[in-house]
Amino acid sequence: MNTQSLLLAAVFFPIIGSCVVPLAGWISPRLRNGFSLACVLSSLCSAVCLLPSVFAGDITSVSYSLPLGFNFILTADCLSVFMAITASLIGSIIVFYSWGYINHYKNQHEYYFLVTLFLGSMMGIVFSGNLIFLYVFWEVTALASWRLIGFFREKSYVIRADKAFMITMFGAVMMLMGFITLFQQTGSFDLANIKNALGTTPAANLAVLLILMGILSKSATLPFHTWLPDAGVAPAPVTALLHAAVLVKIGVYVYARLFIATMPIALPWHTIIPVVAGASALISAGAALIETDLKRIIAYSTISQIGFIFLGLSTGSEIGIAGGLMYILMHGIAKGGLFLCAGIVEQNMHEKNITKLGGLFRTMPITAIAFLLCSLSVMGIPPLGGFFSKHMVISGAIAGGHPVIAFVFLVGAFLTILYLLRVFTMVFLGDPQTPTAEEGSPTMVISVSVLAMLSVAGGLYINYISTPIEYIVKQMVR
Amino acid sequence: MDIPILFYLIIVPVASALLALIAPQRLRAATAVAGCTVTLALTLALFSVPRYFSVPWAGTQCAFRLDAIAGFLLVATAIVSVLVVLYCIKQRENADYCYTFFPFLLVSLALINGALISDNLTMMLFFWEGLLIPLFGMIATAHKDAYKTAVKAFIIVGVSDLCLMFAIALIEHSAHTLTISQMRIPLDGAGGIAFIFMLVGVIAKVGAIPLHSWMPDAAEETPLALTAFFSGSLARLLGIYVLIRMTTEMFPYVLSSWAGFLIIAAGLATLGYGIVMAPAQKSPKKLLSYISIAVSGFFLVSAGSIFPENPEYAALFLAASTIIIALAFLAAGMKEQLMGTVTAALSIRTRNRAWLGAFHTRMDHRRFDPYELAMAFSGWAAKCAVVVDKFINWIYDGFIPFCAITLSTIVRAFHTGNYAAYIIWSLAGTIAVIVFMIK
Amino acid sequence: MASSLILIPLIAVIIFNLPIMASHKRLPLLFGVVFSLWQAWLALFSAGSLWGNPVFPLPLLSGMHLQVTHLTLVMYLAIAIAAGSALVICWYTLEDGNKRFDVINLILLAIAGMNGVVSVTDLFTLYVFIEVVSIASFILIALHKDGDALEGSMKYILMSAIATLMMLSAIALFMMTTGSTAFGEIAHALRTQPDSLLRGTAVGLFLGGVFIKSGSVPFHGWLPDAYASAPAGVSVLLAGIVTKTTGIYTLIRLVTAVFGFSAHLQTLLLAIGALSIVVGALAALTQTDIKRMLAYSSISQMGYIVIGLGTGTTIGVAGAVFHLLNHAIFKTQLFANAAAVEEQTGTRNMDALGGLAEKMPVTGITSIIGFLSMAGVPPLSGFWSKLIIIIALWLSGYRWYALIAVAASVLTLAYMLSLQRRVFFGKLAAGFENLKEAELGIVLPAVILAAISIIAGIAFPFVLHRLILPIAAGW
Repeated sequence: MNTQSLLLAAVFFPIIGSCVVPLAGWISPRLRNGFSLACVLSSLCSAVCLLPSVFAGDITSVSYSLPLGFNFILTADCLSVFMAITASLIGSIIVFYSWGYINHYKNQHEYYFLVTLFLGSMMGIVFSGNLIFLYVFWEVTALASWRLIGFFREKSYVIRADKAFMITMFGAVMMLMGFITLFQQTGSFDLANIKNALGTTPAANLAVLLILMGILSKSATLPFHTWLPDAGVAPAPVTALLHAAVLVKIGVYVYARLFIATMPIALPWHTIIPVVAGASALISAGAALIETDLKRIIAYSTISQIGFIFLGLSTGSEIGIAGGLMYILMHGIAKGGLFLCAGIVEQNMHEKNITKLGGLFRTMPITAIAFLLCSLSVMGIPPLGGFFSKHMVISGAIAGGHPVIAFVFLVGAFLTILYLLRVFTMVFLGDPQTPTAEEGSPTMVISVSVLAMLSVAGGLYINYISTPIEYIVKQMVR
Repeated sequence: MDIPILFYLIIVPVASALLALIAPQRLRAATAVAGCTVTLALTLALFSVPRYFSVPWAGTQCAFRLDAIAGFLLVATAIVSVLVVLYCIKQRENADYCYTFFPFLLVSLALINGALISDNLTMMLFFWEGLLIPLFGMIATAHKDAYKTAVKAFIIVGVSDLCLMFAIALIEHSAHTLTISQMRIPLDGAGGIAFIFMLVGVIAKVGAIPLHSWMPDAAEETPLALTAFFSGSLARLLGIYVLIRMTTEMFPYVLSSWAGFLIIAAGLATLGYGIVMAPAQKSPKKLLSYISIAVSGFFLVSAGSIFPENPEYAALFLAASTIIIALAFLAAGMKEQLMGTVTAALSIRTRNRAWLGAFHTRMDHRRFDPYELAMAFSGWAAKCAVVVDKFINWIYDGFIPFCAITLSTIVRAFHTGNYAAYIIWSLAGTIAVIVFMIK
Repeated sequence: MASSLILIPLIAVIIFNLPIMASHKRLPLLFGVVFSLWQAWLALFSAGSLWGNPVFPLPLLSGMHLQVTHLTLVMYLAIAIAAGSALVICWYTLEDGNKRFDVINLILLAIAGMNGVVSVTDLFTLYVFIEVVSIASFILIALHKDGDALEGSMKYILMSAIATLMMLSAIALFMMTTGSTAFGEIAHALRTQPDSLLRGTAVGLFLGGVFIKSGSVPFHGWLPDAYASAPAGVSVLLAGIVTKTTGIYTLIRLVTAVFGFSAHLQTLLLAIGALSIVVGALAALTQTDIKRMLAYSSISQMGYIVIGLGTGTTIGVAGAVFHLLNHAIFKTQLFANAAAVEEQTGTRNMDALGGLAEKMPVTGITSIIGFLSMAGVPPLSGFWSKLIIIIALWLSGYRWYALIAVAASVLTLAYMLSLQRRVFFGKLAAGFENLKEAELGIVLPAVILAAISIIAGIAFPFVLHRLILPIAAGW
């Protein structure tokens, strides 16, 4: 298959496939489940097949000129393929987990349709080469996440879903204004043309500010972060998708794509953004320490870790950027694992409050160990994957000339250790406050084990990950 | 693939750890013994020839080396591991604990070996911080509620490891290299801050104040084997090793500056603290841990004053004393087992406290009462009677360390001709002896 | 051809009301649907040559000249879609056979009138056709003769009368000063003598009338009552197309082809547009009646069209027209959903409803498509038209207006989300356990319209090339 077909398949197979999912569901639930997983896996396979060509330096592109500059362009370079593999890998595991999780509930056709559409739109975002279509796919993910957050249809859940939709849409339309400003400055919506037109001139500060508003709202960073902890009412695999693996990574990806790989930004931003990220990381870590709802704690943890990724990407040093990218992968895997474990606990114990849980290690040992391994990765303890990324990010921050901010993040990392250990000990160790339940279903347990093992492998085989990432960074800053 | 022979120091223990995990209970002990002995043989075999190689990995050059310093310490580590494993097999109680303990022990051995042979700071940090996981596991599996202590240990050591990470980042930025043997960092500005943060990391590991609190709690909650293996011996070994590297290679101007004073001050404070707290302990295990803290302080002082001048001897001394202290702890454990003198030991301490209490009462002016005075005096007399009893214990517990310390003091003093140092050392040694005596 | 689009429905109405056709009650419906489909097809796919000379006389009335521009084609499409759906929905929501028959005939009459409005070339004929449509609307609103409907109808008649008065006066002034009411001549006169006070007054009067007809703030008071109290199918017609044709289309046509853009006019349009957007959105937030909420949102969307027109650029006008077309599609569909809900549950009060999507899945899904298109969420067609308007605003330098427009977009999302939450997306409210989906006749138009939203959104290049960009180019 030539690379262009692979690129098209990676994006459109899940999107078109998602429309077929309800039809498959009418025939049989198993067919629907399998088909849904197949759609996501096809993205993964296409992205992996694109690896050899992008790492040889070729950039694959599919483009159609459409009226008014809204050209449809898909571009596959190292960064996109990396993000695509990250998102679809974690997405596949989450879909697999859903088999065991969602079959207790109603509206399953809608669920699989939305999840597949969501992952397909994610592929659209990472491969998009035109700002307008980037926005289109961005909003489709917002729409899918609205339906998914309110999935259980309780009134308070739907209100939270509405709130999430509104906050992210507000950020998104601001971002759209930023795109139009860029269009005014450079005359095009195409990323390639913008890059050529700007050269070394920094992008207009108004455009950067507006686009940042969109990025910060999608990636749940201060001050647009309030929707993320509330969105924990979604089904567990959805929160894993949203909070960990995919949705919050959209913002950081677009940051990397626009402000590192496409256009230069004025120097003050290299200080402002780390400061905002630092504030976000500290405040959310503090909140995580006080919370008692299991999923909310992990959600605040995500906000904190995303601040860390922003630090890596925004300090302007290559090692920081590499660390940030690596942490996108590692955090996605580990945080996905944490949320899926939380899902198992919640489903079997019917209890979300950690002060009422305890002693689950005896009855759910696999879940407990998976949770521990994933937490260790998020804390940044070797030999797990998170260690190298955190080390590189801190090095990058210091190399970029922000030692004080690096110290702030050190405090954040300290708080991370505290609250994650707190959750682990209160939920899995100690005396049971409520009668303990048995281990989750096989598909669910396999999924979390795979994620935990990937976290460990990510650390041990770091060599295989860091070399491609260095290459990606080189290509980005060229 | 041609794996450099140095890596076998890491691979062998890890492989034995995996084997030990899957082996049935009867074979687990055997696997552990085999693993440790093979490692020991390796370290002895490798000891003679200094080796150095570097391999590109994860974007940087990672250097590994085996020189005399590391060599001594590797041997010491292996010997301690073998001793602890044998101890575990011999003693009957805590058998279940020992079976989960072995894999963690082997993993820790691998990590310590790795840290000792790393010449690259990031790799060293990788192994150093990786010890958090086996440490947590070893403490948490001791008994049902031990996880709280494990969490405390994890947090204290983990945070100090974070400081170490920060320091390494600063060092990389100012020295532009991560290879320890090639660094020469001045102590002003970023270098100074990096030094302080690294010192924080070292302090938590060796158990100096103010980051020592995990050690007594860990000693209390877990069987003796852990204290003997880790908190009491190998943790200190690793910490002081890094301090040696810091003072000799990374920050070569330490001695004559504020940094050297900082180390010595920390060391003296720890030494004093350990000595004061040790006699007040009721529990034998806590006593041992406070002794360990005191010894750590002692080594800190040495590291800040003497060690940088001749690191190979320092390493030899460190190695020897680690082995001896580990032996002492194990012997104390064995003694309690063989003679069942836990209660007896406790009663000695109770009498000890009574003596201290009497002394205290004597100082209370409001009670300047002839009767009280008489009681105090009789307390004194009782104490003299006890001394004889203690002397017997001292022979078992204090003699060996006492010999080691005085011997090495004499050797060192003659070697360097540094009499001031000799005085400090002998003073410290005597204080340590007094501690043992009181015990 | 243009004349046939007016004549055929007229003649059909006459025929259907002959005594001999009394027994064929269904015939008008079938005729209406077929005619709408034919009109839509013509608008989309006919070659330019079909429309012949730009101007040709209508038989029987030699003074009336018809002209089919690209804007007219878009309007034909919108009329066909909206009126066709209204026909079907009216048929299935009214029980009384006689009333049904009358309603269908009235709608056919309105179609004829609207087709006339969009193709005439002079002011007086324009006025005549507007009145035809308005009269048909009055009767339709008051069909059930209940209190609300009569009040709504009265308000509409009243406001319409004022508008009519203003328009007639303007026409008289134009006759006086220019000697003709043809578009071409008035345009010429305005260009060559821009400072004539009388003509300026005439322009102002006519525009005032048009603003009243279109329901722009501050002349919008009649609109919510008229929409809400009319029977379900009639609301579809009103909201979907009547106000658009008599109000907004007239505005666009006159401003672009006749009156021209002056700075004052632009400012006026921008201000009224922004005001309508914001007031409509804010008022919609507080409503509990589905149809009133949709009515206020119509006011809001009209504001977008007016503000797009106010930019004075080709791209702005193109965007405005595109939004007009999209509005016809999604508003018709939303009112069809409202009709379905009212039909099945008997109430329009959102506080009493809840979780209906469980029992009425088709209505639920189509309502999602409709509201997303209205809020401007891709990949639906409503997004593209809003995007074009906003780009036009921003690039013309009206940044604050653009910001108001996008902020109101979020408000639009807010109130539609609240509608969804209260009516469809939630747990089933008490008392609705036996609820069933509405019958095919009401649901099918909604499905088709939703499909059109999706297809037009994904295939937007086709829509742009075929329908919208020619307007920009031709103007």
